[in-house]
Amino acid sequence: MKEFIKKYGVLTLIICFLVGAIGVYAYSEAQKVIPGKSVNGEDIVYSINNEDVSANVLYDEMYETNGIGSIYLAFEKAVLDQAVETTEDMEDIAAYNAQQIISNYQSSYGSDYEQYIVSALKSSGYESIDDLEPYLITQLKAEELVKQYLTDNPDVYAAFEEEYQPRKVSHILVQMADSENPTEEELAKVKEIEDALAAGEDFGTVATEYSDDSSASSAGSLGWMDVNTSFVESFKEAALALNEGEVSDWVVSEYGYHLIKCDESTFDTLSQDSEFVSNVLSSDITIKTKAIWDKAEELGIDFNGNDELKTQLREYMLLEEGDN
Amino acid sequence: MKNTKKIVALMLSAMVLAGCSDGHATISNANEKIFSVGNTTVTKGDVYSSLFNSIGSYVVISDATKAVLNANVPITDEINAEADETMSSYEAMYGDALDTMVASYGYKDAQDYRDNGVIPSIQAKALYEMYVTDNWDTIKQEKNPKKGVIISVSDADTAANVMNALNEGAELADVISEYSLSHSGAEELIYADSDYPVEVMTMVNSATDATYATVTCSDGSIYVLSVTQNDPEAIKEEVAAALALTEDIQVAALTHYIKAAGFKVYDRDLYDTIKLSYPEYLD
Repeated sequence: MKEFIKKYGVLTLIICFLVGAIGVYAYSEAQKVIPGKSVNGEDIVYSINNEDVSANVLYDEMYETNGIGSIYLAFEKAVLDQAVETTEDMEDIAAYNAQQIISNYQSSYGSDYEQYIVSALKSSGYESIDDLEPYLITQLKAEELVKQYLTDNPDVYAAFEEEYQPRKVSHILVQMADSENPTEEELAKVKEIEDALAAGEDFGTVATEYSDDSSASSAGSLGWMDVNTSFVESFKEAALALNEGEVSDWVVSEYGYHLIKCDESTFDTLSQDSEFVSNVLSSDITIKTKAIWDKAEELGIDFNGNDELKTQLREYMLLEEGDN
Repeated sequence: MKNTKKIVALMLSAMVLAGCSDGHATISNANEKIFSVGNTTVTKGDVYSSLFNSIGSYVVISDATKAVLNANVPITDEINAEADETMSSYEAMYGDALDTMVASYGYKDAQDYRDNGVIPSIQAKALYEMYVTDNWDTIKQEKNPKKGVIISVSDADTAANVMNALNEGAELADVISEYSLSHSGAEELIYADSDYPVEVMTMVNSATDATYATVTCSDGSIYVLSVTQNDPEAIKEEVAAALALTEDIQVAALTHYIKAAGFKVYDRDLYDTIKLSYPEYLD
């Protein structure tokens, strides 16, 4: 015995210590485990009042709540993944945007920021923080697909253009206390602006120098507008009447006198803007769903004989009988 | 040496197994194809995962709450009548726009809203009241409910005017309308945690009858007050109805009844998600 202890004593002590440590570890881990449960071959998700609720029952409940929305997300992702190649540009933009999002969430939610991002991702069919960049890349792919769809289908954009009259405009405002009875000082400013423009000064430069509006800091630019933009009526009417490059006469509104310039109004110029697609979709979301469906048909769709699902999905996508 | 290797292998296996037995529930026909686009196939299992990630915990908690409501507050004729009355008032208010209004809340139509919105909310209110009644001794001790009138006034002269008017039998509503700073001051329930200065709460707790008194607080605010009911038992129902509308009682009640119903989760992911939003429902 003495011989044995002499020979294996240290090893025995180490083994005893390890066995003890594993026992403690196993016990503490076992406390954290959420054991599964199965009844009649069905996985149980939870139980209450001694009733088991299976994953199958939960699926039906969840499907009733938002099944078609979930199917659309999977449909859109499947189309985009196959239809639009991921470019290095997309990866760079997604990485930058992801960093911005993380910073914003960190400043809003502190150390809990990740769970809020994951929660937002989950509502779009993704699972973890690692999916943030893939999610953003999918958004960029959607923009690319829509842009391509509009380029390939000029009739679609022509119909959109006729209905919404999209354009980007700038203005120069001479603010007045009473637009109907401008003061001499206000009229003098109007004259100065007219002279500057007549002398060939650039509209944006004059806006920066003279306009009584916060847009002066961005050369008078008011950005994207269409028939639904909430501008005062006289302003909106005059802005929508302009062709690309044209400047209006003085327009009177409750704010004062405006000179309006239509900066861009054609597909060729508007589509160069990075926010073009989001601006178009803010007016008509069906352009995106039409583009998705169009591409899906090209790739080949099979609803496994479920015509009702096809109808429900098209309804969810707001597609009408004649679309595609 | 051979034995040592075996022991080490066993210990490692034990360590691995100890951390690997979480439940992950899934549906029976997870591989069933829902649709395919090009070379991508989406299965029922994919849709289950997506739904589970986005709304799983919400649906489970909502269903568990419904189960608890139905078990503790059965839908009686009285509840049905109250629901019908509520729907009639909505119909009168919204007319043909009612369906659109309830659709914006996620209900199919007015009937769906009645059955799954209005009735559960009536049941919930009854459940919260039941919680207060069932736990009356604890809540009574914690909240120390009383009933009284607390009128906030601008200065000592106004306080004197209020005292005179009330002692001469003037209507409380008239006095409040003429002198109260906040235009509140009608008879109200007062709890140990009511948001009044400590001097006011001290006076409320020491009052033995319903006579009016003036309290000047260290922050300069002045109140005229009277405790009209000192006995919590006499206002038990009123307190239960009022506390049923407060968030802390609602959370405490749902936690109590959901746990009492033996709510148990058998899926690790669901457990973790619920742990984030409703940790109190889990053991």
